[in-house]
Amino acid sequence: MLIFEIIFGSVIGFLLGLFPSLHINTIGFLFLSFGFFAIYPQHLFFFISISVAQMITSFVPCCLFGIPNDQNILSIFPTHKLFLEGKAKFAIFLCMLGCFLGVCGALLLLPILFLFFNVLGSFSFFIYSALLFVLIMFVFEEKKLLQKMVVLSIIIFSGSLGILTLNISYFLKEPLLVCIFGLFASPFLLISCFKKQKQIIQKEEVDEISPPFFLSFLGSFVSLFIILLPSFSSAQAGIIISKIKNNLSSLEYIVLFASISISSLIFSFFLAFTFYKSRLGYIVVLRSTDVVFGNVDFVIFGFVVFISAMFVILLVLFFLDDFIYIVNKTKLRVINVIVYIFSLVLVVSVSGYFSLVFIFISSCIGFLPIIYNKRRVILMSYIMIPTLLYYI
Amino acid sequence: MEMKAFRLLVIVCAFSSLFLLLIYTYYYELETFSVYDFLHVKDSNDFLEKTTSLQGTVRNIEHRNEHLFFDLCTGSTCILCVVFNIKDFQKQTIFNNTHLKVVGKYTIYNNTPQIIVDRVYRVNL
Repeated sequence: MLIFEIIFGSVIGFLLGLFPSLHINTIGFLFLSFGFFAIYPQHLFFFISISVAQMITSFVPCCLFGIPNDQNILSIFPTHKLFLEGKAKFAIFLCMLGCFLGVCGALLLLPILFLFFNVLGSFSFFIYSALLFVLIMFVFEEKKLLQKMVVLSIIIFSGSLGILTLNISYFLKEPLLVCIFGLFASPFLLISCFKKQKQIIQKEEVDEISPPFFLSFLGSFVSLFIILLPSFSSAQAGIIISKIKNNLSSLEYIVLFASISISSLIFSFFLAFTFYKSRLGYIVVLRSTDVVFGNVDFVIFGFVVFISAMFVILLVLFFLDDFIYIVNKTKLRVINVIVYIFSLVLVVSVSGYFSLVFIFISSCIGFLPIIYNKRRVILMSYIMIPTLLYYI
Repeated sequence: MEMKAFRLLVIVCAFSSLFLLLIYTYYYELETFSVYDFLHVKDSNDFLEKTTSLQGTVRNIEHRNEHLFFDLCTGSTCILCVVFNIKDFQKQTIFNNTHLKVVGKYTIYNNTPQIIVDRVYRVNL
């Protein structure tokens, strides 16, 4: 029964989404390792519901954990800024609003994606030009020569790590999991663990906001282009929009980022069904098992995505007060230590003990944008440079 | 610890660890297996999603768009190999019944083991 698959999948995705540092690709790998696909095979919409629910719920730990205690860091996420102002509940609400608008926008834009991919999808020149353009943009955004050199150095360091772990993967299983954790999550978690923090009580009220329909739709539209480009993430899409629409407030950025993230997921599944392109590791895992990908009814696909998204958004909003209560009663430092240990155990169990060396190397590189006050999205050159080399 | 000292420490650690990794990777010698040993003797799951080196005879070459598919065999034991976006110099190396050493990522796709080929070398028997 389809509705049971959706509800069951959404509940599992909701529970998995509450774990910090757990990406949907890692979940796919864990399912494969524990033989989950053999226990519950051939139920494509069940696994789609899991991914949609996990993506939406993952904004909750994103808003509540791994918070650095210094608002002056340039590369702090807007959700963390709101947390430090005591507005974590509002941040999560904005994420849910963004997801809702993003799902609606993405489903409406699916025919456009079909057209775009037919025209641009195999156009290698477009892909590596876009990659090169973004890398150059990172450098030339800085005004002073010294700042340009700093950004270039970060790009070279993270790009080199990408080549050594992704292109030449002699030592690691799942290098992406290890290095993305080390580059992005680990530095902030370590700062949070070692620096003294004052308890920030989260408010229970939510501020009023008029839904940014146009901005959210723009986010879904930009996701169309981003999904065509391998190695591009939601962060790059956010930067592109912030260039188009100047002076984005933190609130608008949160809604935008949530829209882009959920739209990218929906577009990834659509590309897998129509063009057999896997832009997500989770989809690669699904296709490598007996989960059937051909002849998908797109009306049912849209229905499944919409229902599971709405169900999970309601679940998150229902339990939101409980999440805030737990955070208010627990010391932030304790939460972050637990999150860090959990993440380390997860990474080591998936990739082996040698991954600790790579966590150390990638964390050192991950600290560079923080200490030089640069945007952490520059670290995405970890994936972008190996992809660029593939297309040249 | 002062900010300047921490900055210096991070830069030194990042640079030196990356440099050591580069040197280690450069001088690291991959063990080359025959296809039969790899699939039947060794536990190939240890090599899943890692770069590995296999040696064998090429059979059943197939060109699809810009990609090349072939079986690398030792006797009757074969593994599917795929070269994405094949370059001209690679086309000149891969022919049916040639003996090759193939370096690439071992993966499972549609329940089938395969090698996503990165580099190819002729082997003289």
